[in-house]
Amino acid sequence: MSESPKSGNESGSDAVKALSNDLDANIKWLSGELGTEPDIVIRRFQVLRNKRAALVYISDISNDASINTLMMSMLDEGLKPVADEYEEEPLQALMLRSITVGAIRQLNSLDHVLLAILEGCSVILLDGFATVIAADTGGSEKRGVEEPSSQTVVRGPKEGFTESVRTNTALIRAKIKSADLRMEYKRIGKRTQTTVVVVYIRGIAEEKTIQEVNRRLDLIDTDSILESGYIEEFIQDKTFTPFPLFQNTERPDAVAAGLLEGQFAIIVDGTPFVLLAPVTFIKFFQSSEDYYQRYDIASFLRLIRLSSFLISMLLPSLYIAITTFHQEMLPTSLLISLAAQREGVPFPALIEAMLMELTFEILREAGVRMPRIIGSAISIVGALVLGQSAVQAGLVSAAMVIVVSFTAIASFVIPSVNMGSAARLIRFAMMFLAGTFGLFGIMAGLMIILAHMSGLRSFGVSYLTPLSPLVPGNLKDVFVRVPWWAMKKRPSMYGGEPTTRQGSGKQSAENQGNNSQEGKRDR
Amino acid sequence: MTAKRTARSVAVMALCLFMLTGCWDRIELNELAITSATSIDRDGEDWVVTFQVVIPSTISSGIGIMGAGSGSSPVIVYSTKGKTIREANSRSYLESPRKLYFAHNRVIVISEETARRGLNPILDVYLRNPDARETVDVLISRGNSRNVLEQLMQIERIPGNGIREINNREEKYLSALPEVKMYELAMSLSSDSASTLLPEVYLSGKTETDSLKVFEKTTLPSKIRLGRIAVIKKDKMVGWLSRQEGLGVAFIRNTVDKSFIAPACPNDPSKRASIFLGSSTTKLKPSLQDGKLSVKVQIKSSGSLTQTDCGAKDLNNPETIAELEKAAEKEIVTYAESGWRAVQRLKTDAVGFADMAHRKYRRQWHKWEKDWDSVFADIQIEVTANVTLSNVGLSKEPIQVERLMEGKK
Repeated sequence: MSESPKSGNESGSDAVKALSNDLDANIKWLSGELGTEPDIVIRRFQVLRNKRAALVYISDISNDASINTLMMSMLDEGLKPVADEYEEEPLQALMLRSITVGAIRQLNSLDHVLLAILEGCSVILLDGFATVIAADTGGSEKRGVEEPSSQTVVRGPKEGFTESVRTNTALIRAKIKSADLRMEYKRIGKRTQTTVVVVYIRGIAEEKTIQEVNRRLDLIDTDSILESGYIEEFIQDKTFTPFPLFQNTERPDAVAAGLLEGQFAIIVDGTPFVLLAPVTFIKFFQSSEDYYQRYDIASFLRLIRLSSFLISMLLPSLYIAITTFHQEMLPTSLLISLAAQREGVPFPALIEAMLMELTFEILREAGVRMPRIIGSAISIVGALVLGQSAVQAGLVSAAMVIVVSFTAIASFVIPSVNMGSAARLIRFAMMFLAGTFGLFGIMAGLMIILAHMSGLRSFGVSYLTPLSPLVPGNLKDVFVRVPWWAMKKRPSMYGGEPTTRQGSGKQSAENQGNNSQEGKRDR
Repeated sequence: MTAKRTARSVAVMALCLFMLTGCWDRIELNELAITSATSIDRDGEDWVVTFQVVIPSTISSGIGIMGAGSGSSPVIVYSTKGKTIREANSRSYLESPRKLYFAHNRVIVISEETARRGLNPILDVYLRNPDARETVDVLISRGNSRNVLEQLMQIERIPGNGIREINNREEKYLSALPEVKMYELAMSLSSDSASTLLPEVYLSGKTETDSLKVFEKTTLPSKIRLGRIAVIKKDKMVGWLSRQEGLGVAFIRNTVDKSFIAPACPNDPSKRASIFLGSSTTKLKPSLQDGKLSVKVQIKSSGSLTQTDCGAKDLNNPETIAELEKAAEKEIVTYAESGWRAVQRLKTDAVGFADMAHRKYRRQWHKWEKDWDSVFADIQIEVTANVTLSNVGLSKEPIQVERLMEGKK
């Protein structure tokens, strides 16, 4: 993927600039690096009676309360008599007796110190020591946990990830209280130093996959990671494909479910969108709600989604192909009605469809980009002017407006936005094929897409599994979802050891009740 | 590197696509003249082909549709003449602004004269060309067939479609006239019996209903109707069967689906009952005696009594039912025998005995094949019918007002 393998972005291989023993020299260097902006605080004080010390932090990204407590405790320490054993080890004394922050680190490289300060740590420098203590007092403004805006459910948890990686890991930990839940922290991006966390469950996720994702993440050599999309493009198996090779979600429950099936998650600081991989085609049609609703309605909805994908991809091209090449396939009355609508339409069906589809795409993009307040204006323009008036003016046929609107609605049914966009892109190619070759072109296009999909891999997992290669054991959650108690085994497609999800022999309460005497006695 | 090569090969393949004439049969809907019915007449040695072309804008109403609306005629009819059917077709380009489109052609009406002169060219045209469908209904018209196409129809806006619907309903509920599609026609003409029946369509009434103005009244001056049954032998029409004979032949041919018969009452021949036959099957039992073929025709029908005028009879009594059934059987046998006499008169094996004989007596068939007409003329048939009345309706006695009043007292 990346052409020349590059060493890790952590400054480990570079020459480490060590701290000096002199407090003043250290402070001078730091203030030289950080500048004299008003939010950079360098507080000198005395500790352990006579030791000169300094606290350095950036006030805007630190938590005032914890810094206050820390300062208070350390100033307090300055007054207390010091036991002899600590005279020799003032740094130890500080850590043992007066630092109120839980997470502390000892650093001795200037770069690391700088980075710690930029992250929101408070750094305590002590005169005469080339080691500093970095206490995690970070805490900038955070958005609270809210309902996800992109993936809503009727039934199910309403919480969504936030921009803070800590909140996000907390949300996952709250779902899976297992010691096997692993979170590997990384920093990617030379300038942004973005925290990236690889989350997986040890024993369920395949080890090789985890090694591979770590390898790929380490290969990333960029100056900035601002969203998980950056990571996705850097490490996905294939770039030139309309199909997404990563699932992204705002929902902690979806991530937890993915982890429990053997996927791994990549959380990127600064975005609520968490990546899940390896992924298969069918995964994009599974909504987390499928598993909370009854299995029958969930299966029905899943079939609706799959057919909506086909509609969204093919309906305009089918309309073009049938009305311009295969008129004999239409029932006579429909043909006459369509022909009547096309009377006076100046464009060929292909151009007509292209016009309307592009119009819709523009409308949709406008709807996403424009300020919410003007929202109603676009619906009026979109619905009345472009829909009804275009038909009345004889520019497009009414049937075409119906086709385009239905296609649009169908494309919103797909739970995953990026799979929806795949369908959108393919739709245009298919329309050209249909306009030039008719149904033959559509068929050829579908063949090419199928061949392409069969060749796709997401971290070694074939994109069409479990359909191709066929894994009969994993078909319980593809087109239909069988009841939970019937899904005894974890799907094996993401690798790893197959593990059981349900105790063997345990079935629904109904079956248990019928089999056991106790059930009868209870009644 | 590989991406470059892939891109190059894709580009080469895309260029190859331009060499293929991809758009050869691409045609927009508003470039089509959708033909709903075709008729074929002869003028001397020339063929006159008439097209009934649908004007979509007058049929479908809705916003944004340009056109004159429902005030104008839903179809337009025009004829072209040529030395062959296809030549006549091609002459349509001289006068039609759009390309004639036959895939939705519902009926083809052939004039009696054309049919008597031979159907071979028509079959050839339909079976050779992919644009003409073999599922089109074939009908025979008395006189000029163009008149049938010019006729407008009640309820159905497109007359071609209406004719097909009439033909279809009739075959389903009366079974006297068959609905014959082009491929069925070709199949039965190429079978051993080499003959078939075609329904007749004609205009009843004095003047033609060829203008929308007549629809301002409840009564139309003329109507499209189905009439007799044309008998085709080899590829030529040889004569007509009446509807009664047609139903009789249908009984023998086992093509009766549902039908109505009105047998005379067992006790009073001047009055009649009415029986709806829900199903009917016919078994042919051929036998060979002294080299002469005779056929037992066993008709088995079941139906329900839909009307009776047969005086005061208790319909709960099985004997009454049996008598009615016997009357119905007699009626069916009469029909079948009259049909049989008609096909013998026309010396045409429209009942399809040749195929039966070929299957049953393969050895003799080689001999018969050469002169099937004379063998057919000698065939004796014996018709038996078995009718089961499964339902007599809601009242057990015929309704007679005087008796109802007596009951009140």
